[in-house]
Amino acid sequence: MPLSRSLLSRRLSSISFRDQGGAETTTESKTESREMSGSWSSMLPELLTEIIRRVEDTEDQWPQRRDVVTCACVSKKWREITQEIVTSPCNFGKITFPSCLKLAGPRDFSNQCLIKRNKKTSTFYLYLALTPSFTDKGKFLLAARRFRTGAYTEYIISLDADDFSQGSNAYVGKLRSDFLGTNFTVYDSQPPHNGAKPSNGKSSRRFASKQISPQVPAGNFEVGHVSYKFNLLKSRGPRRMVSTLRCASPSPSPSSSSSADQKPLDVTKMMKKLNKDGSGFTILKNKAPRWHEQLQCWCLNFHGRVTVASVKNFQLVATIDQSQPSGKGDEETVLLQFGKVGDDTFTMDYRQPLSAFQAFALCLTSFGTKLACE
Amino acid sequence: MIVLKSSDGETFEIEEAVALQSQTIAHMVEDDCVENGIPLANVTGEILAKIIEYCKKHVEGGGGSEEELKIWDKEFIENIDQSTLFNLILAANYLNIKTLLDLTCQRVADMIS
Repeated sequence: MPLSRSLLSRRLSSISFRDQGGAETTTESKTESREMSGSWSSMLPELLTEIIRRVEDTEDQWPQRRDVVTCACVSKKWREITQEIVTSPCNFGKITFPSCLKLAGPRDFSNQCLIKRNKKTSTFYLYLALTPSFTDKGKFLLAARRFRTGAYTEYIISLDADDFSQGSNAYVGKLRSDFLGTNFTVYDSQPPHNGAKPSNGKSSRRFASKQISPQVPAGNFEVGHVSYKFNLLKSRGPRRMVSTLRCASPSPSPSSSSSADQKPLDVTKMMKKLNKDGSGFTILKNKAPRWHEQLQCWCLNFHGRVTVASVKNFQLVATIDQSQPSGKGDEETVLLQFGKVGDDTFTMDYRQPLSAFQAFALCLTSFGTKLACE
Repeated sequence: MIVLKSSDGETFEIEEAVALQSQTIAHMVEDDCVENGIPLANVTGEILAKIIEYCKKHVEGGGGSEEELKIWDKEFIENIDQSTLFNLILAANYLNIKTLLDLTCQRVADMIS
């Protein structure tokens, strides 16, 4: 018997209305309403946890996972318990609420997603794949639109496919590239850690006044860089991609807190803010393809998830990975894979420590011209 | 035989084996405080009757095959209204009857899905 969200809330609240009605009249009714002891929304937390945990267990995948979101809509208590269950370690990587898009992906496997491009509107849509087919719709996660302004290009990333304003609640972050399209900065609309200062910019000041809750600092917070390097070979070879990202460490290890252990890197402002909140850097590079003599082309094993050859296709592995105990990345495990499967359809597979938002931003850098690379 | 007294004054006389499915009652029996019957201030007669119906069916060895028991459980849980279900969950929690708690919580989870 399926219950829609409104039906559930109405049914549960109708029990509490009966309570209030009963308490107004005779002593007998008062006893009865006391025995009813409150409505579903104020049930004992441990019992609520049992119930919601069971809903979560059975509704693992979308679209059924919508029911877990419904549980969070019943009352404040239900919401707290649902959020606790959704963010517990055993549910790592599952996407339930929009906030899950900024949490790290699964540890042991990749979340498979699809990116659809609309060339006319320069808009890109990210979907969580619900079936292995590349043509099925999937669950919509994020949208991005490209804006070219003067010397740079920006991709605004939003929860709402029709709203790309940086002042709206749906604004998630953005990607800015230099004129050449070889260096990109990833900005998050939310501070990556306490005390983070937003980067200065006209846009931050402009939309700060539209904020609903002034306690949360508005603005864009730098959380990563991506750069594409020159291809030294004369032939049309693959480009080199390096990315530095601030990733929330899923299991922060105390041993990585000393900055002396870090490899010396190019200086960026982010280095100095390292590990104040347990989140460190992840450095990614693309896995080098092998030259296949017989086929006369560069080959990467995409395990069937990429079917059209394109210079945009890439696989990223980590050289520095804070989610690993030693901090060193395992250069074999592909953390992000992106590739073409149709004219305007691409697959994106990502896993911990990357979040869906970060993975999407990294994939967006692959679109557009790279003037010095090809 | 063990006597259970509901919050609204009803008394139920049941066999020890049936009552012992409740961990709460089992502890009371161990601590030997069941002389004059066990008062259950948190459970009404109506709910207690349902619980006893469940426990009688689930007494070890008396319930029939596993399949039959599952079918009976399904019938049992699908024929009660929401407020009874709500009270059953609280009572099963209070009386610490794990299988009944699992059944009732799963029922609510299924209703939400």
